Amino acid sequence: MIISESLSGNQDTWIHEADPRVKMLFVAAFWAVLLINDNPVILLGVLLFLHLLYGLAGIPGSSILAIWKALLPISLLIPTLWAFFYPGGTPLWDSGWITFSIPGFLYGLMIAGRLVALALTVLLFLYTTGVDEMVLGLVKLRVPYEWGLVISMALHYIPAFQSLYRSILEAQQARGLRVEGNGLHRAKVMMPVFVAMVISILRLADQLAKSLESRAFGASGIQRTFLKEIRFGFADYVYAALIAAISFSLLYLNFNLK
Amino acid sequence: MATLPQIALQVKNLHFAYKPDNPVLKGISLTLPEGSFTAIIGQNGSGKTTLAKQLNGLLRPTAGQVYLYNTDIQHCSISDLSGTVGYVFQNPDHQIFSPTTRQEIAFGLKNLRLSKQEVDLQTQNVLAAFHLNAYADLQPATLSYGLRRKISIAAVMATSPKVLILDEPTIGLDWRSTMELIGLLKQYCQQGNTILLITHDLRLIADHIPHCMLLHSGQLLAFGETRTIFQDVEILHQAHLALPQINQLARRLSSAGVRPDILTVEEFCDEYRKLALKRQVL
Repeated sequence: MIISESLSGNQDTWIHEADPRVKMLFVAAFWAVLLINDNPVILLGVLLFLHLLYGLAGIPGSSILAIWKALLPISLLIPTLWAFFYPGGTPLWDSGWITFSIPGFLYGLMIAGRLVALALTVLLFLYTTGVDEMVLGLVKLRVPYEWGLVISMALHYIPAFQSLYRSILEAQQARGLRVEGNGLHRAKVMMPVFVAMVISILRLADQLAKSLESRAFGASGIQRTFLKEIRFGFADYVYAALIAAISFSLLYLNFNLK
Repeated sequence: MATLPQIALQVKNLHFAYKPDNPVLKGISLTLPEGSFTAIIGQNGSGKTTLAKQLNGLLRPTAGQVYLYNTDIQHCSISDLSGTVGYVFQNPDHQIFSPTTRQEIAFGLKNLRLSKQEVDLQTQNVLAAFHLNAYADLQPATLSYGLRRKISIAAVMATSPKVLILDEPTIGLDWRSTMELIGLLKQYCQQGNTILLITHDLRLIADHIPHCMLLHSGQLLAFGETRTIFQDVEILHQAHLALPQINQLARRLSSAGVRPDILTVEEFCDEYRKLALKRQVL
């Protein structure tokens, strides 16, 4: 659901209008900061800043909530596992067999927060960048057009696959498939859905490839032109400078803040 | 004294919306007697599939009720309803997953927890009825679209649901397969089962389906005998539907004495013979 909204989003905020290359820079810079950073205060600051950007991009609160809901299970699992398996630190509870470590729990919380922030960064890019712009951005960065198209189509088809999954599930339920139980049993029960999904996706991929080739996709010796052009404007230089400044400041703070 | 047929499906003031501000079905009420054969027609996006999905619990009404044999289905699960309401989806690839056609047909029967003997016997009967014996041990996913379409219908009909809903089942079928399917459906209907068929093929309805309902923008514009509804040109135009060509021809020739309510080629031929005979006599 998240991705489908991102790709069909048609808002017109300054974030939407920014050059896709700036937004790619934003993702790369913030991923670097998030992966290097080990300071929880900075992480909290980045999370707040990302939420501010979501607000400025006009992304509804319900969508942000949906992201959090999707990431909640793993966000709870990580600190819990770290609490039990963290070597050393002050235990909150120690039964001799099992230890619940507070530093471990806090470290796990930090990892989970980092994961959420990484996801929020990429999703902000997807929410605010159309498929065509994404391909153009990649082409301008010297990525071959075919690769750019493949990447963007993969993203574009996520909502289509979600819809396909729902339709197939409905079709099998209408034939008496009982979706119940969990773990291995559920996996076994869901087999008719997964197999039908794979067959449908393979058929779709085959038809898509033939359809692209029949319209001269990949023809050699062709100088491709684009209906829409993107231009790195003054505002984009300002955004890029700001992204660089914020990222370096955060890294500086990370290495110097005690 | 003749007994009235039992009511198979009853829909009372049904409303439905995928999104709160965009209603798809607006206050639909209808009653389908057991053993009836009804077509659902309407332009794309009129709510045909959405209405059909309410009848087997795939979608739940925003307001209103659906009764299946006098039982409100609100709290019935889809799999529980599947024993009584069979649903053939528009796209056969959404249901085909088994390594052989035989297993694909047996899937629904196994879900109904029938014994192995019953499953085998019914599977064999259905393979024969649909002329699928030659494909019984082949992978259904590798067969042509028309055959996959046929297998998907056969697999649902194998479970002998008392109510059968088919969403555009004739797409991709050649004329002969279509006629075979219609023959099977008529036979199934005569056995006391209720059939609802979604289609855009008005000629097929005129030739074979005695009742139809006309949906337009989520509202039921008309519901009744096909012949009566097909006489109401205005209502068909309102729903952006064109009458079968033979009826259009009969209307144009009405000034020459041809009945304007003719729906089939056979009726037109009979009328023509009558007119020719009359002229000879005169």
